[in-house]
Amino acid sequence: MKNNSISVLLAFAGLLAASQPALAAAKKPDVRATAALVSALQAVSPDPLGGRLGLAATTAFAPVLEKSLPGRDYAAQTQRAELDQRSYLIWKSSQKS
Amino acid sequence: MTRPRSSLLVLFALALLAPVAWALPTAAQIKLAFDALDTTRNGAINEEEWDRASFALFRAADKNNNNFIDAAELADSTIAQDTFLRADTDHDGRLSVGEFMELRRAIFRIADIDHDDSLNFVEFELLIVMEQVGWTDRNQNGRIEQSELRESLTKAFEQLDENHDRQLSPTELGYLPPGRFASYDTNRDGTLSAEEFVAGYRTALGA
Repeated sequence: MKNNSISVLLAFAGLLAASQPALAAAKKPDVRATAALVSALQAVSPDPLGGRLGLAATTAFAPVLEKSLPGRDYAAQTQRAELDQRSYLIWKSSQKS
Repeated sequence: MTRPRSSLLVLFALALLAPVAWALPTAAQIKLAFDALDTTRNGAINEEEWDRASFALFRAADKNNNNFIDAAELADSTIAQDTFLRADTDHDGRLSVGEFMELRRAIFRIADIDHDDSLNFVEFELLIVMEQVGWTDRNQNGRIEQSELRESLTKAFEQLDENHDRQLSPTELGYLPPGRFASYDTNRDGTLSAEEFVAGYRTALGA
């Protein structure tokens, strides 16, 4: 019984050790795919802020600090920004190899 | 630091009127970028795919990895720096993830010409073109309405017409796949007039 338990433990340890390279390799495609995505995007759109289109897009912006502007849902915008921050950090940590 | 609205409008107009700043990519490059974004391979970029790509762009721009984009981390171009100032809505001198994503989503909404919450290939292609040539939001609602589409495409035509001969050659439209160029060229003269260019895109967009 004791020998069986040791054998199982040893087999498990062996499997765990053998799987590390495979696990590491499984994580890498996300990082590689992201790098390929960024490279492809930067080839067609060098400015992450959208060039002249981005500049035109900002004409609809108003400072977050202007809470009293009619029609601006400051609370919703702040909440959205916090959600984006959290989502980004989760995404970023998933990219680490 | 804030700028007076009038100077911002002048800068905006200059950004639209200035000639194309960098060479347009090739058709193959645009296809590669679209396919890289379209991770579900359904022929359209949805908001989730757009957001994930935007995260990747933010990460790439955030060179010191402090989860903010500083002005110094951007290209030293007037347009990029002015967009940065406008997008920095809390005026702390840097772009947070939230500020960056608000801008990226605004760009997505503009490019989503048929308002179906996704970008098909033609919409994505036009987004790339408009990043260089700009566009006019007449009713300032952050969308290209059907009524504004002709004007936006005509403005793009004028900006792309580098030799000002009122025709677009295959060279001037190097980003357009040859097959689509030929389909837009209804009079088969080897160039596109403004009418052919606008009509071709409207058909491709189903407008």
